[in-house]
Amino acid sequence: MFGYSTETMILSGISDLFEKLNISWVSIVLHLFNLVVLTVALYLLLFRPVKKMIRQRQENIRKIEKDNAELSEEVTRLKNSTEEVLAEAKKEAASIHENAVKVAERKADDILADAKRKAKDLVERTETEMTQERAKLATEIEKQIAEVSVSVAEKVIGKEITAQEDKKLIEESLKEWSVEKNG
Amino acid sequence: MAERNLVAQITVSRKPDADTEKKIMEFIKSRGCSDAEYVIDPNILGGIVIQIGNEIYDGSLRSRLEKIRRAL
Repeated sequence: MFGYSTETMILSGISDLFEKLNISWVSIVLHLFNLVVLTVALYLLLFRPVKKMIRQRQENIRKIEKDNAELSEEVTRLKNSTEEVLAEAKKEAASIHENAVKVAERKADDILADAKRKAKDLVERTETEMTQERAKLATEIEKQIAEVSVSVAEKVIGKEITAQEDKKLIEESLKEWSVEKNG
Repeated sequence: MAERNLVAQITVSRKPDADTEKKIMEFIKSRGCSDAEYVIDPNILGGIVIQIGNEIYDGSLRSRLEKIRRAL
């Protein structure tokens, strides 16, 4: 690179320049030291706390985001679960309703059938009773008609039969009985 | 048939004439009776009822009407 003489020359040139600018080596060193102290102080008092605070905030944000994600996931899971439960409940409610309707319909059918059967029985019983009553009445009427007819016939015959007719009746009877005996 | 000295009870609504009486006598004799006892009962309406012992020959109008009544 450079030889010893070159370095010496550069240093000599810098010393000349410093002298012309009225800058001493001590001053430079002190300034450098001040800079270092300031830098260290700034680093310790400002940069590190700020960095730490930023890191904490980032961690907080990450944590919040993570919590949010977990919460969101939980919410989604709960929502799905709720929907499933709701769907199941709806299905069960529909099933219960359907069963209740079926039971009610069956019961209504039974009641209707029972009522129809009872009504039919009542109608049949009434018809039977009416038929029997009619038959009884008809028999009674016929009996009364017969009684009246015979009574009328008795009265008419008793008054109107002549001796000749009576004789004829007697002879017919005698003849009939004789034939029976001989036959 | 030999006569059994039975008396037939003859019920009529009016007294029959001689000819009918003769026929009645012939009939009861054929049933073993020797005599007849007449009863006049207008309730039989007409015809004749003859009772010989336990046997009854009923040819009265009342019995005929009774048969009709039963038939009706």
